[in-house]
Amino acid sequence: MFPYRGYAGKCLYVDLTSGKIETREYDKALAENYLGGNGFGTRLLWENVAPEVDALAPENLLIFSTGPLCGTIVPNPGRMEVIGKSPLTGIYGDANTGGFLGPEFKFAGWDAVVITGQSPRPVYLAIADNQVELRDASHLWGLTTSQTENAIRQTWGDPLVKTATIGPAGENLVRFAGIQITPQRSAARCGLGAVMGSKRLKAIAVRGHGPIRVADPYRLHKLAIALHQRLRANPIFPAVHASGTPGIVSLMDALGRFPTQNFRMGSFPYVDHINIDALRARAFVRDLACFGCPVACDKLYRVPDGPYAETALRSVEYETLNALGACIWNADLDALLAANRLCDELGLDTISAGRVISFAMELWDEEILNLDDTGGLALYWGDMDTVLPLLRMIAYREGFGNLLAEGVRRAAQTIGRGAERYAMHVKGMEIAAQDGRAQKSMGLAHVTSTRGADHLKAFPVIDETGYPDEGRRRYGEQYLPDIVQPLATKYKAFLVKDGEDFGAVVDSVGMCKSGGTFVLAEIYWPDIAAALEAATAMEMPVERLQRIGERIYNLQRCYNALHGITRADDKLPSRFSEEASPSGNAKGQTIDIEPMLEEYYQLRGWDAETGWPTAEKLRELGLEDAIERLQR
Amino acid sequence: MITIHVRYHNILQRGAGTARETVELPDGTSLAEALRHLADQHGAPLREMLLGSDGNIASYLVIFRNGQLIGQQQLQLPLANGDELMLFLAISGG
Repeated sequence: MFPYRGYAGKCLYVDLTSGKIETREYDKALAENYLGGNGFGTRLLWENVAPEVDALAPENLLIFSTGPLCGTIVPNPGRMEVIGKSPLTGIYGDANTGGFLGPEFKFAGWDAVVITGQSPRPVYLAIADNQVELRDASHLWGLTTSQTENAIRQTWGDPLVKTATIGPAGENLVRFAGIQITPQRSAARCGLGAVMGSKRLKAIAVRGHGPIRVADPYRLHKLAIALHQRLRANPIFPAVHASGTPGIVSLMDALGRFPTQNFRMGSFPYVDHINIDALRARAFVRDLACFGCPVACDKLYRVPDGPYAETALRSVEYETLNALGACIWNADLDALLAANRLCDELGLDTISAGRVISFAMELWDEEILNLDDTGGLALYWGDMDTVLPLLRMIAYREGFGNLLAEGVRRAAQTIGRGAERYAMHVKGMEIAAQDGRAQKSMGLAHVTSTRGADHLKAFPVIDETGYPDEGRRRYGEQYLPDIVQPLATKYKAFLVKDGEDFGAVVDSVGMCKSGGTFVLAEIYWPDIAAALEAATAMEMPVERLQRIGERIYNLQRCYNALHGITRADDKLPSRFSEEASPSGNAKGQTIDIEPMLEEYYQLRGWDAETGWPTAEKLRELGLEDAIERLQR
Repeated sequence: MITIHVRYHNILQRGAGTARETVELPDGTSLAEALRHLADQHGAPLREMLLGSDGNIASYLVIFRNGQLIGQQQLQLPLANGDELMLFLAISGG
């Protein structure tokens, strides 16, 4: 009998090749050492998907994994993780999503679903509490994500069914296809939608009616109330609530960290056309929230008139406003929203989709690409009459879109002729709207992230603006002012390491990085440790929780090491060290990653030459099996 | 007298009731004094956004002067004629 509360206590294992569905008790040792969510998936990937397995092969796993606080009453407990080997990077991959799917899994009585194999025909997995079956999805294959979701709901006859669906991009194995999650959220990054497509799994649909039992309801309730109150008392809370991530567009632009024209610049002269004020004035309908979230940073937007009239969507994020706005030199907000909606329908990660297009536009501008290369497409900056059809071409792998569907690293290798210089990626993952020249910790975070270029693993938000209160509250007076200054490098290795370990825990318990743990910086190690104790009855001193975060992150690094990743791969594109930022507060800045990286390896206990965790560190973390595998 | 140009972002616009304004101030006015002037002119709720509960310039206010990020230690420096200020709350994320 699984001993801990907070968990449903059991998982589904689905072999799509044989059609076999198996129920297994949640592994007690896994819960104790990896919590759930991100940690659970990391351990399963490590144990079951060998380096020689291709990400799109049936042997890859696709793991949907919740955590012990997901669906409870702590603030922002609606997150879940999707983990698998990434077809974009060829290494460890994960994607995180908000919305309502994670809690619905728990209500249905499942902590995780582990999928392997490849179905002979398109199917979807239907989970109605304890009733689980694979259903034919031949009639759904080819539909967009919302069409799929609606068709499943209609068949089911229950409007409250939650789904994870892929669109044409996932079906066509676009290497940055995402998974669309009810309601219009995305597990977007790393191309896990293509993994789902390779398995011919069109969707997972879940409906649950059960409770989540916690160990000490009185204590958890008291803790949750206190956390909710702290969030609401935070002086930045009203701004985050009012604007969500689009609220940082103009601020990031002023800081010079708002990538423009494929990172040629860090500020967009037309930023006022796509910032929160423009968005609100043009298309705001109402506030929305994910499960159990007091921040409610999500909004419903609708284009009221014009060529894109009635385009309606939620989850319009800072990243998309950059990727499909400034980075491709587009100031047409309506067209941007239409492109965002199109990506959601096709099942494309908006960040990577925008980046492959800005990459191609820069190559066009540099006369590396011509009409013969593009099949007759002229790729002028900001030309949305080209961008919108090109997004479809990518999703359906048509013409030039087939090349871009491979992501910038592979596309650059195919194009040659110096194209690699313009491919803005780390380890194959396109860089999000976070320019390390303007915020040095973010440059380090991109190279140490275990899923390739990424701002969300370390998520160093406290030094974006130089705001001291968050730094003081989290780390103490002794690190000020350097730790909160965006252009300083001192203490940034420490900031990144702490963020990675803490982030691994946040992603493993089922909480949100934008709802108080990183953004607002209110909820920290002691809060999550206390909530875990109250929810699960697991003894969780802060030191143990920190060790768990460190263990998860080290195991991800070990998994990548098995795939040949070394220190030599921990590098930014040369643009960041060779071309000074021309604008904003970062004007004249480049980034030298090496001193921070050296300090980071020391703090991590990793070998400075290989960039691999040392045997001593792995032993300390109880990862003896990793020592043996790395030595092999 | 000097003339400065102020740009409010995000919910600060709601507090000020405008996105931009031009303000005349005596020669030698410091940035902190200018912000207090704006708080006095507009009253609540802008005052609550610009000034902390202790009446000092709020630490969560992000200020750019002529495109450069200004630290708390620079609040007492005098402004110059034609200066452009951009004001944000210290919202972060991505």
